[in-house]
Amino acid sequence: MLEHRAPLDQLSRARNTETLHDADAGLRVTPVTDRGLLLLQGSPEDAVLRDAIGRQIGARVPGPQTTDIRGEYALLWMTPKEWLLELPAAETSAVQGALVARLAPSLAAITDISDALACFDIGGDPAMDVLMTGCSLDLRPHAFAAGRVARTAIADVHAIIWKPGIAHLFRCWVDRSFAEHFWNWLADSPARW
Amino acid sequence: MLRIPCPWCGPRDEPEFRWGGEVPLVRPGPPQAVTESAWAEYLFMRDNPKGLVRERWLHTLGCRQWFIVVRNTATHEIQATSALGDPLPEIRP
Repeated sequence: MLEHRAPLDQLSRARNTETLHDADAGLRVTPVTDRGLLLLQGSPEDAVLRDAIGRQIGARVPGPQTTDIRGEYALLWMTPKEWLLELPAAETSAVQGALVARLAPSLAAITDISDALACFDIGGDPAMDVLMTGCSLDLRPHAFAAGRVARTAIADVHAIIWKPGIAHLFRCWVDRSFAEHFWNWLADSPARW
Repeated sequence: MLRIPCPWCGPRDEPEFRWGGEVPLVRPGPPQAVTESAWAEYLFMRDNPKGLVRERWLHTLGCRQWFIVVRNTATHEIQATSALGDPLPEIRP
């Protein structure tokens, strides 16, 4: 019998990984386990794809480095031909099924990659500074506005970083196998700066 | 460290990229008709100029797209970049 495990389950037996909260510094890190991810691959010119996205979640296909947020759904630009649909985990397979049906006449593909990545919400006043110690992006508000998304390396591992537009909050994904490394790196971060 | 302006993601650090060699590099063909020396020329011989050169780079850790960079091999100045499919950027002397 297969058993579903959250990325940090292994680690949480050793110590608390519910929330990392540094009261002095104000940094707050929370593993996010109630969101699903669907990877959409296709051409941005594909009318069927644009129509399916529009009808299913009401979103437009976002251009480079941007996102389109519609209620509980967010569509994130990944590459010129790939987008990530972030949605409530419980709806993942239903939405995937509906999109597969809508995309049948098109070459576009849709894949559930929810369990490939580990997701973290990094918030609090120092969130931006902590992340900037680990990557070379300028995350200050004038350079990385709300709604921006970027794929880069944070703490030496491949990561997706998104600013959903909630004060000071960044949502980051790393490959699932790097979840513990990323968590430990964040836990050490107040000492670093 | 180079800062390379990816046409899709904006300026990023060099370790995010992979170098892909000079362009244009045209594969000779058809294979049966190509002499050994022409293959050797295609596989191994490059201009390797000191100065401005057009080369391919891959944004491995970002958008995973190949694109064209005009780079000065002596000074590391990056003069222009362009996405694949767009016209090759001109080299300004």
